[in-house]
Order: sequence, then structure tokens, then C-alpha cells
Amino acid sequence: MSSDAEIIRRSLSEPTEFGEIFERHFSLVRGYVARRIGMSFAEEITSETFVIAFKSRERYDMRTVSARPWLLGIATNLIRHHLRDERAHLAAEARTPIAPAPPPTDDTERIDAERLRPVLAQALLSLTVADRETFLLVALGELTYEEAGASLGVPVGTVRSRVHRARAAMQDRLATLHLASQMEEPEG
Amino acid sequence: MDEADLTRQALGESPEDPGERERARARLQHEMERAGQRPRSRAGVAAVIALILVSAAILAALGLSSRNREADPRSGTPSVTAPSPTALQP
Repeated sequence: MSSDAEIIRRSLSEPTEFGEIFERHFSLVRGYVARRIGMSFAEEITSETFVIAFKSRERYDMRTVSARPWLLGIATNLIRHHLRDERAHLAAEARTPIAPAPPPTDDTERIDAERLRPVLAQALLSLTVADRETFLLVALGELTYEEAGASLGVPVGTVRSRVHRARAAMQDRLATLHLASQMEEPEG
Repeated sequence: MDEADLTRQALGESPEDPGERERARARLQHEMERAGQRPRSRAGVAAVIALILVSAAILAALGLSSRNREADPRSGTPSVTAPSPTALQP
């Protein structure tokens, strides 16, 4: 199977080859965008991401085998024009009441995570834009620190410190929630 | 489960509208076809210009060499070589 870089190189002379990049990465880009700003703008931004990528493919660094960091970088830039929508999306999540813990099942981890959505949304809202987008490229885009750095055009050390701050904010919120739930538990 | 996994799971998958991918694909397809129909890319135009220049240079070189050649009496082609200064003296 050809690498993304090989396909992009071929698409310079055969433009329709770029369709393979779309088929490979549409779901990832769309999922990343939808989780960040909600469904309202997900379609528009995802579609625009691929058109911009296609038009700028001559500038693609052919040494980068996977196009994932590049595509998510383009999507991240487009999301910056919708920061107000992202905040509104997170604020709506943060306002959702936290459901009581259900009995343990095989899917306990996923249910726990969904239950904590309002707390995580609050934590994400408390971050700076740079910290939030870096952390979400790693968390939602599943990029390595190196890939996130390439995607944002910042050194890997900067990625590391931004993700560290984001994780600390998450832990802080989760600890507060844990303490609060302990205080709510009836004695005896 | 670390904070990244937690966030990924918490923010959940949003179901894909079946038409969404189709519309995005159609838009990209349009761009790809337009690019394919363009007569020549910038690089292509540069290559054509280079070819024309090389051809012109070759033709010029050939032309110069024939100009310097004496007229072939059998072909009836007049010589285009400049006359020697002595030939112009009365």
C-alpha cells in the first residue's frame, strides 16, 4: 500500500489520486472537528480542510509519511475561526448535570468517561487556546507529541509543556469532583 | 485510563451523516477535476518555454552555419557570406 506521501507526490501530476487521501482520513478529520466544535460546523470545516490540503499539496513535506498531522493542522487552523463556537460547545457540555455512577459493567470505563464529560468540558474551557488545541490534537487526533509539534509548527518541548498543563488542569478538576462526591456520600 | 483517553471517550463519537462524506467527496472531486483540466501547470509551461528556447537556439546555430557556408552552385543558392573588403575596392 502506498504511503500518504507517495500518493500526494503522484497527485501533483494526476490530481484525482488525491481522492485516496480523502478516503483514508475523512473519518479522523471529521471526528476531530465534530468533537471540538460540535456537529453544526463539522461538515463545512472537514470539507474545507480537504480542499485546502489539495490546493496546497505542492508544499507538502514529502519526508512526512502520514498526512494525518498535516490534515489535522489545517483543520485546527480553520477551527481557530470558530473559537466562539468551540467555547459554546464546551460550555453546553459543562452545563450538563453529572449523572450518578451506574453499577459496574463491562463498559464501565466508557460510561465513567461519558459521565465525567461536564467536568472535562469545564477543564478544557479553563485552558488557553494554545494548550487546549495541543492537548486535543494528542487526545482526539491521536497524534504523537512530535506529530502535534509538526502539525502546529511548534517545537516538541512546547507540545510537552502544553499537554502537561492540560493534564494538570484535568486532574485538578477530577480531584475536586472526587472530593465533592465523597462529601455528598451519607455517613455510616 | 489517562486524561487523553478519558477526553477521547468523554467527548464521544458523533455519528456520521451518510450524505456528509458524499458532499465533501463531491466538492473535492470538483476541485481535482478542475485541476486536471487546466491546460498546463506552471512547471509544464516552464518546460514548454525551455523547449522552445532550446529549439530556437538549435535552429539559430544551424542557420548561422549555413550562412557561413559558400553558396552551392548546383542549388543556385546565393552566398550570404560578407564580401571581403578588397572585393569592394574599385
